[in-house]
Amino acid sequence: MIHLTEAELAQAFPFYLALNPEGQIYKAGVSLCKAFPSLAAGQYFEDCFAIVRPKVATVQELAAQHDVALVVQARQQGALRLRGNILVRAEGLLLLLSPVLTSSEEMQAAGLGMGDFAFHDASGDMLLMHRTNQMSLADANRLASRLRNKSKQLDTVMRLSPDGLAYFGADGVLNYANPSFQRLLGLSTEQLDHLQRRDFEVWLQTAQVPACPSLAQMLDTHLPLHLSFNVPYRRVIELQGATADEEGGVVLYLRDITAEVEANRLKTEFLTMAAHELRTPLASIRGFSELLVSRPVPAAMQQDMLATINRQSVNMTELIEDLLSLSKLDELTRDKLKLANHDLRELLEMAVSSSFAGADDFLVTRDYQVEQCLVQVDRHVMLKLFSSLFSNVIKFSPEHKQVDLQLRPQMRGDAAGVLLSIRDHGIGMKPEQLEHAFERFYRADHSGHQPGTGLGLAMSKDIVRLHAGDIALDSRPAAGVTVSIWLPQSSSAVSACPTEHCY
Amino acid sequence: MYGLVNRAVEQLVEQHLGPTGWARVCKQAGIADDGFVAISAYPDQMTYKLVGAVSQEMGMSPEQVLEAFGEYWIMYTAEEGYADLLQTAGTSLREFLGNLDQMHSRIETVFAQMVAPVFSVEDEGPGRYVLLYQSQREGLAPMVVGLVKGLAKRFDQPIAIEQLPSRAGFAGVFRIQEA
Repeated sequence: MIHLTEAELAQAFPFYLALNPEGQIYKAGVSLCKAFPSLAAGQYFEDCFAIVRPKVATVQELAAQHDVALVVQARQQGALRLRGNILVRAEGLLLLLSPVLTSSEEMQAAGLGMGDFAFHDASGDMLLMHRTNQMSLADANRLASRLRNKSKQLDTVMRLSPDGLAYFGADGVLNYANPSFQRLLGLSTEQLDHLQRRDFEVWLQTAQVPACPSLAQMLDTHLPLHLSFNVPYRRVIELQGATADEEGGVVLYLRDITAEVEANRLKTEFLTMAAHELRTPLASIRGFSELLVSRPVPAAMQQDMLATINRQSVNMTELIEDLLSLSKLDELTRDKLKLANHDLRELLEMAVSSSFAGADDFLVTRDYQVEQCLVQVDRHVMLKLFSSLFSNVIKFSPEHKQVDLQLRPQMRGDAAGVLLSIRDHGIGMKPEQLEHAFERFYRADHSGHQPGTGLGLAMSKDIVRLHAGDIALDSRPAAGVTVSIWLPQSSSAVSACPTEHCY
Repeated sequence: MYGLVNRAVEQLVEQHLGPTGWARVCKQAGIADDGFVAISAYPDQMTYKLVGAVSQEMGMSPEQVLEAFGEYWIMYTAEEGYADLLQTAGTSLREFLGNLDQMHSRIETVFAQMVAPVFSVEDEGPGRYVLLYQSQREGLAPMVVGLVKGLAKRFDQPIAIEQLPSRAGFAGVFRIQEA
């Protein structure tokens, strides 16, 4: 038999309630009294509390229900509920209760604190747990919100990226592909929908030239693949991949390296051609100079040899100067040009004066359909362009020595501009020659009869492009060549006025 | 450590340096700045890395960071979530420190994996006592100084605290003198 003193009972069950056989309260735990300050000895239990469980009407009936859970609800004090056991004793009923609370706020509303619960009573712990869960839920919501924001940011970054990105999940299905991925590979939205990784590999093998190793090989070696496509347009794509997560999902990264590959190809081609072009005159110089050094040569022949050496060294100097100019042009960007407003007609006239100074038999006609033609150009660079073009005119017009200059206004979209035509009446070009005319070192005449480096038109194209214009050639054999240059007009330019200036 | 602790570090940093400062700390510590969930357990190493990064970012020693964090913990974090519990532990600093283990027994119900420190108090005279601190974690003694200072502010009791040479089996021994 275990007996508790009244103090021990109060400590172990601070919400206890003792009732006499008539149902009157004669003692109550200290915490219960704290929650119900108006509770007083002598009050009838049923006046203060309603019995929720068991389903009985009076306190007396509770005595027969001592083996069930008791739930009562206060008639006042915020209708606080209490739950506990019923002990039937000779002096009446002893109700061992504890408040039913679901939050700290409810506990505070009941005027209670954690210290009002017995140590063995887990009600306090439940409230702590509830509070912690609430805090954790708020944390989780905050975390989810931050992840959502990050996801949106990443989505925007990937949407705007010029590089392609795609993610194949561990199940092998395409989960995500940004617009650039679709664009670079030329895939339709339908093709991307539920795309399987193995189908993508098959597609890669059939779509690109030449065949590439498998994606699995690439993932193993960590080496990027270079994919070459010809349809719908020629491009070279670098493909890299990496395992993205522990489940085995794979991220693919695509980058368009067409320009880089093309630049490398041109660079190699350029170096090969430059070396070749330099070697030819050099061989001539070396051969004749060795002859002159090693054996006696008749004076007349000596003179010829020296003349050849001189001519070839002039050619080499010209070639090197052109190469240097080209190199400078390659480094030149629009922001490095000394742009200023110039009247294109004045520039043309200056170039005509200097270029045709030694060619008095040349007829230069002008048809300037603009009164004043202001363009924003680098004067020095533009004069070099005209000088190079006029040099070609002179070189390739051995018989019909005439050049027609025409200037007329021309809109390109919303941009006002001026079209300059330089038409000669020389030997002209065949269509296949025309096709390669702007390539570096391309020379229509391979006989060596015409001096030149094959760089003039390539430089002309660079110069015009730097000035946001464009250049085109039109020609037929024996019908001369027409060079058309369009340049944007300065915003301060005076509007075009068709005026005939023909000389 | 539980996310509650890491989250308190985050709140302390944000209070002083703002969200961008917190992002810098996370970058330096090499952890994501998404946040922490109070009831989730995180590796202790993560908290140590955070303290190291906060130390660099704020130009304070790790000990100063831990002390500031201890004070912040009492004044804001514990107050925010567990004010009711704090109230039950006492109405004065001395009483509170004496009941700390009892309070931790409640907390352990919620944070089942918690390895809570153990505290005991030796009275030396009126308003003068020694706090003995045992912990499985190393290097957190400065945080205890901050916790005590925070509690003293909570109870509006000016104190002086000094760390005494440690005793065998203890991670820290502190003498507290009430003004």
